[in-house]
Amino acid sequence: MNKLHEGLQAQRKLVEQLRIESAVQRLPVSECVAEMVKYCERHQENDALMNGFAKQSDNPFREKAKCTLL
Amino acid sequence: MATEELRVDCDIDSIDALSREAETLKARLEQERSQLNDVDLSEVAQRLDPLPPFIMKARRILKGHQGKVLCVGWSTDKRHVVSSSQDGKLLVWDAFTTNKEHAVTMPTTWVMACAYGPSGTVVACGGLDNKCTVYPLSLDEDPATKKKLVGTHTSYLSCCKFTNSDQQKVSTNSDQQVRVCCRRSVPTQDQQKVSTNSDQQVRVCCRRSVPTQGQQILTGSGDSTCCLWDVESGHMMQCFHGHSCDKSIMVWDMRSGSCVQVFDGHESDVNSVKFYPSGDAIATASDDATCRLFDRRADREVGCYKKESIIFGCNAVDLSLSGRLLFGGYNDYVVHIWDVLKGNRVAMLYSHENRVSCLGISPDGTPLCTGAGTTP
Repeated sequence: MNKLHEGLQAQRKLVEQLRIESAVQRLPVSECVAEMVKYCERHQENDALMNGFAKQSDNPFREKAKCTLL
Repeated sequence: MATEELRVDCDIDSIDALSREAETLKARLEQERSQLNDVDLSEVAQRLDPLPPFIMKARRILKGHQGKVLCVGWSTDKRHVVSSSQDGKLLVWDAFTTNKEHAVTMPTTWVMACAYGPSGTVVACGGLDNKCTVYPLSLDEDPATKKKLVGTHTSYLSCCKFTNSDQQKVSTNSDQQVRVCCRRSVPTQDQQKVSTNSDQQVRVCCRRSVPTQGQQILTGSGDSTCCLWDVESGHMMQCFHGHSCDKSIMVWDMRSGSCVQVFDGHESDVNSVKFYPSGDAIATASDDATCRLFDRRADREVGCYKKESIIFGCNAVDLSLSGRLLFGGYNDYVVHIWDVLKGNRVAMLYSHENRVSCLGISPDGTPLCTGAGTTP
């Protein structure tokens, strides 16, 4: 009896979750993908991992120039 | 007696009815998702220029851990890094100079989660001790004397993150057995609800600081739950139940605690999840040797990053600032870098001599930090 009750509860929860999921508003993939491409293009200039640095000195992790005694 | 039997009958009936409804709902979901799948991401991306040649080299090696590095996190100052290891140590590094600024010995080994607070003055961590502890960082005294217990789970802590005024987080779950990395959760980046829209899922990416910033911590645990804790009081504010051994990715609403979206597709455990910088998609890494991209608005998988030659599982994932590059840390000791749009691999980084267990890109998107074998 108790097991049955638990099963019922679990099933109810599942259906409830599925109801929420099926009520989600969806957009066509083409639209989402187009926006994703746009986002990438818009932020591309600032992405140092893609373009590298304009000047070496912009890179905080560059090797420091070493002093040499002449 | 008779009524008892009647009730049992009723219950069986309603179980059947519910199962039937679940089946129809599942079928409908499947149908709707496939109907909207009108184009392939890589087809759209064909017209784009190929990426410039990828130049990246290992700039710093942070040596000091005696065991496998399990987690790394960047500070918002783009300079400091926190790392935790199997040896039970938590180290805070200055990435510019490679100096260790703080070291905390935890009362446990396997510190599987660590995170820098948004203020840069606290770090949170936890592991096999089942606890999430916050350490304030100050140069005057030992952080361990000022430690603060925030939350306790009934199993190990697999991840912790400070919230940044986020509305939602994503979490993944794999098997519940004690394994290296089972479960991660990552909050979205500074996302606010659009107030004119009643739909909580429509969000904008405005970066705005709110008074509660950094006051809450999200934790994920081997007990299959994620929880949201208040740092000050240590109260649990929200608990997210629902994960089972299911290879799925769940998106939660942080305020209501309910699951708003589920993504399936991975064939094995999901080890890591990250929000796409726009907040509309989620990148995942899995033991099935693939990384995938799920779009939240299309409600389905839009990209899968795999190669026949890559047969090892992926432990960690992160995206570049523009979202064009995806970095995956794999068990074959290599960091593979993918073009998110075109779906091809653009580069590989070989600097580790063991499995790459974690990686993270700094908040300004410049350096990449990876953790593995013995050195992060």
